[in-house]
Amino acid sequence: MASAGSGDEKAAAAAMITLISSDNEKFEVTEATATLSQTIRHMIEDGCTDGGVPLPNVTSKILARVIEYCKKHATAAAGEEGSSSSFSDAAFLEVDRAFLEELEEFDDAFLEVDRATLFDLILAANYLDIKGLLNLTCQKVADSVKGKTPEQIREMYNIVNDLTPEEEAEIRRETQWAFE
Amino acid sequence: MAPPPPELFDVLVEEVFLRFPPEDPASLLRAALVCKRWHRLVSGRHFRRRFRGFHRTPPMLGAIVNNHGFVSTSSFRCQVPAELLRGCMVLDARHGRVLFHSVSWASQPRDPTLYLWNPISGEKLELPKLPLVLDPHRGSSNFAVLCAAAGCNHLDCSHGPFLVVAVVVSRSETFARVYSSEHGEWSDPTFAPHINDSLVKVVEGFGEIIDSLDLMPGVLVGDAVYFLLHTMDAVLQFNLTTREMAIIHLPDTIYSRPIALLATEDGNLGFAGTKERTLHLWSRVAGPGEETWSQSRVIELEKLLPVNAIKRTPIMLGSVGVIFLYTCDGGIYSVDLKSSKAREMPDRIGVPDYVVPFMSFCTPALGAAPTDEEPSGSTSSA
Repeated sequence: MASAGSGDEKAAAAAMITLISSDNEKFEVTEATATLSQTIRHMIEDGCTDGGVPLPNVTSKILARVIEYCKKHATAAAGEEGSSSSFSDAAFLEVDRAFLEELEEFDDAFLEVDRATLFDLILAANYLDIKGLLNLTCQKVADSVKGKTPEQIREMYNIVNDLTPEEEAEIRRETQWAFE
Repeated sequence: MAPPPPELFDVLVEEVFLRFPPEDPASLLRAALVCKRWHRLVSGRHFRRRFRGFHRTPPMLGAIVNNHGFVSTSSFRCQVPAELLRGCMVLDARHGRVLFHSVSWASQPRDPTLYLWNPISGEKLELPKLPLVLDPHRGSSNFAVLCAAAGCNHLDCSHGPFLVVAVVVSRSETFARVYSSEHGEWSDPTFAPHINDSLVKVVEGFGEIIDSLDLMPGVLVGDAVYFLLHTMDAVLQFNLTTREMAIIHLPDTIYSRPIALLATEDGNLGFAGTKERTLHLWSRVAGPGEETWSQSRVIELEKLLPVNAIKRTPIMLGSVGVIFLYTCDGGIYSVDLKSSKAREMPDRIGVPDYVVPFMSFCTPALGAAPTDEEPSGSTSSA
């Protein structure tokens, strides 16, 4: 399960980039996939990707998932560029719609992970500056907190309440409607 | 594997909070009660500004229904102060403030007192008395409130400078006065004598009548405020920069009364009218020589509203970003033109004259917040 994307893509003429996880595993990916990360895009632009890109903040387990996401969405981005030249073509629009639905299904399935993995994905998305992935993962956490009481949130995320009773009373008094 | 250390979450907690829906401010406030760190974050100036910038369009938190109160369409809750609910009528709401008038429209606005209310902070302000309205028995008036800050993006200006526009029209005198919070007084009137005569109209069966201003809230488009005339065949334009007034005629079409003015997405003056089971949208567009009206959209109401609601043509209740319709089954629906989605308002309240929507971000700087992110003395809230 380790080197996601070393097989078929090697055959392609596209430039390949090697990403190195914190536990020293190497992942070979196309430039199109890698540049979904603004961080890596800048490294490529600066010409500092020879010999691989070390990512000391991302484990191989998480990097494999991130690459899985980027591959899927890089294909989507390429598809979008392709279809823009053939606007108004109903058949293409139909293909686009089907692809967007497929992408949504992919995203939903992608988020079916335990909380620890979700947090690691957020951290990786932030570190690698992958907007779509950061948005997707943060929205998932936001949705899980929405509508919960402070007590429920603390329990979900192992957070200790360090507010003094006075501070708590003050917040509640000011915005009582939010707690009814 | 050990459970994740909580700080993992803390690093990016702001990114998560940004993605709370703006029409659910209660969730954000409940998060502030989880721990000190979250409290500081939610209350911090930095986060509140980022939150508003991230979502860009202030959400509709609810609407003020004349003589009824604030009807919430979000998780935000508030109550119109009792003294504003009794004996006052709501006139307008914009940029975080709601404008009230001390007289019911049945009596003459001889000596009106205007009040501003900020639903989020709860602050209420009485404006200096409007200098005596001339010719009160034959005049009619309408008012608008708006932010006065130049170049403002209106994401967080409810505590900044503001203007209140008063326009009075009558057969003998048509004028406007502007209250500026920065000057603390009403401007001298700007008269528009050329408008007086255009108010005289011949209506079949009634003979000669003098048109007046309608009660429907005005609309701000560019640097002008527009108010509807009672006959619904023309609009009074007040230019905020030149302080000049003009009459703009509406196209000769027949809609159920009343119609509602609106600002179109591309920043033009528009209006919406209902005809049988359809909602028609018009906008003012550049034409050869001068601007003309063009019908921009026709929306089939059966695609938006339940069948029972459109047995008769719905009544237009106003529009500011959204259109409000009162339907024959007693419901009030807000129609979002961007998404073409309709939502029924929670309360059934009989036929209101009109509805004034309240659109604003609710990101209060909670007073008890540790102040490390706040400049001292700051009490601003959205």
